Amino acid sequence: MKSKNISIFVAVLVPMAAVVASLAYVYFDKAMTPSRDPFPYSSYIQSPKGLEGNTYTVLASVDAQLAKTDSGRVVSLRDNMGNPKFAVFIPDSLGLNVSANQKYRLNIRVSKGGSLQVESMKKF
Amino acid sequence: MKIYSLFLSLIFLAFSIRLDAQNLSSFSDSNREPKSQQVVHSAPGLFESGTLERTMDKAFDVEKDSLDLENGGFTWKGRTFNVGSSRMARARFEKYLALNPDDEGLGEYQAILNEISAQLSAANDDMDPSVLFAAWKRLFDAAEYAVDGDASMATANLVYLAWRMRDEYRIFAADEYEKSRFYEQSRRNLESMSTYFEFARDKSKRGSSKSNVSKNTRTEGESRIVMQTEDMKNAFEDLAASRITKEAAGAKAVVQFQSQILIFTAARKFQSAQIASMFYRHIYRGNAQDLRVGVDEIKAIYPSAQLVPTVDVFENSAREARSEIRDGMVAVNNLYDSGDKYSALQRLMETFLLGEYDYYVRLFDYSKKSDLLKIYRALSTIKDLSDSKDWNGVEELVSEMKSLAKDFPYREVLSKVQAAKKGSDLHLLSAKHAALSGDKETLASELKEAAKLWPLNPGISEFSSEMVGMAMGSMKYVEKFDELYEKGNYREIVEEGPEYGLAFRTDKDRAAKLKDAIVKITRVDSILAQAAELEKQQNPYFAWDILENALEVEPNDPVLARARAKLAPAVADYVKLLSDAEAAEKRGDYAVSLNLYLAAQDIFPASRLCRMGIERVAPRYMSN
Repeated sequence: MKSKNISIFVAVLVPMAAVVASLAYVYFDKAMTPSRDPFPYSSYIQSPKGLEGNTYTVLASVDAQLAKTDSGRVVSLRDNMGNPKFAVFIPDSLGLNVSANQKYRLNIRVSKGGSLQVESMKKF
Repeated sequence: MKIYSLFLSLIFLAFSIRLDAQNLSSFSDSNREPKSQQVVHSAPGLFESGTLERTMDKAFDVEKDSLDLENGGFTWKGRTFNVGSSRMARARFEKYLALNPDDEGLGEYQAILNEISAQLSAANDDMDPSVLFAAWKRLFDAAEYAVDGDASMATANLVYLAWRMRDEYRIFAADEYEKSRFYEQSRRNLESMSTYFEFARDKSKRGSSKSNVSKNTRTEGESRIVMQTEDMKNAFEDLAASRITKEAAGAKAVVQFQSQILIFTAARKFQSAQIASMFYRHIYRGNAQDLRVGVDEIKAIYPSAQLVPTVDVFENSAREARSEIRDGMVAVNNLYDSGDKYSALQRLMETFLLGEYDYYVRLFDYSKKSDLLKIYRALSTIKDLSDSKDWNGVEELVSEMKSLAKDFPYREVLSKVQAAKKGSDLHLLSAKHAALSGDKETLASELKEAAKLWPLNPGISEFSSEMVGMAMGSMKYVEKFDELYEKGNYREIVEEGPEYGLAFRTDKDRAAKLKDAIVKITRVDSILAQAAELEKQQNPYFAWDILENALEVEPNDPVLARARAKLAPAVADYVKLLSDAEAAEKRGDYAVSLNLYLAAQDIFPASRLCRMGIERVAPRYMSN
């Protein structure tokens, strides 16, 4: 009887612990990551310079690498909102490999001249 | 025809060498009577007037009258006609055809000459002088007719001269006899005188010492010997001069008579030559029958070594010539009566050349002559037109000639005319080809050849007008082309491309520009065609892209502009994005430009413009 209870306890407890751990991970992860606004493509495309200095979060997949410079690469992204492609700059300092069609969560900043620079990105 | 060619040769030789003038004048000059011994002539009468001298001048003025067939010149009465002999012959022949023989009294005139010939026809030397005199008197009757041309008068004067010279010859002979007797008497006197004085001298010297010989030598009479010697010398000179004068008197008349016969023969007045020869034969005998003028020339005509050139040669030749002339006129009449008028005219022309002054030629029927005159004038006109190479005119006249003379060789004439016209047209065609290819040298030479064959070719005038028009048009095209090219209006240039091409066939610079314009517009049209096809396939963005390519070829083409304007509404969103992207790129807003190109590429993923724009601006994305 005692062993049977322990088995039941383990069978229930472990999954629950997993769920809690996951939730806790997500929670803490989110709590650790500052919260950003979603990227406003329409406003951006109308007046990119008007959004200079802002940072946004965008969930997008890499469409293609457009150019490679000394300090990074320019890629085109297609977000999950159905907007047209737009270009971002991914600095080499992030040390990330970029794969086409891979989805990423990107934190981007509107830099000088309206260019978009990626500050961080994680596979999504 | 042998005698015909014989007399043509005789005419040529006799006149062109002018033998009479040189021989006669030199002979006359050297044998002119010295004034101191001039024979007293009979009292002046009809023939002591200027008639004889003028007639003889006309007959013997061979320095002025000559016919040089070789060079085509004709000198008459001291005036020289620098025309071809054919022209004079043509004029005389035409005059002959126009004359009515009935108006000239030919019948009566010929009857007189026949009577004279009949009277002189006796071949022996025993003709009664009264018969000769009667025949001579009839010469004056014949001379009254204009058709005689003073030939009978010339013969009559020569006969009279011969008679007068014969009388003078007798006087000269008597004078010579007297002078001969005087000379003999002088010689005998001198001889006897010399003998007597020799004897007297010897006698005076006999018995004288040597020292007294000279003192005792008789000199009386020496002067008389000298004078007698002088008289004998003078008598001898007088005798010699008298003999020369006597011979000269006879020779002059003979030479004059023979020269006149030669002149008649050379002038083709055969009947006059024949009658003069007959008179001569009866007046002169023995060695006077031998030719003293034109001997070498007659021997050249008769090369036989057996020939002894005498005056009879002229008489016989004249008789034969007249026979040939008579046969010729028979042929003319036969041909005419059978309807072969062209052949009749040809035979008449040949016979006229020999027998222009002959009775049979002159008596040819006037109505027939009138008919042949029409044909002759038409032929002359055809010849003149042919010389001018007016072939159309020749064709017209040849058609008329068919109705005048059925035997006229119109086919031969027309075939030659056609050949000349076609030859000219061929050269003209070559000239046109040369003009199109810009070969000026060939153009000039072919035009020259075309005009040479047929100067009045209407095609030459038309071609020249076209060339003038083209030249004038070329100037206009040059001005127009320069203006359009400067404005970049190539499509208008291409619309008149062939005309410009023709105008600039020798202008390399403008031709190159024309080619450039044509190439550009052709490419634009090709692109426009492709765009139109894509539009039909519901692919307006592709069509727009292609039209953008045409802008690179010729941005100012109005047709291209219209095509873009027509397509723009269908691709407005795409066009706006592209336009904004290009503008941002020009401003240096590369980030903005890149995003705009990407947005446009979203609309038309195959856009070449977007791809090229992205390739340009992506590397400069961060360099704003």
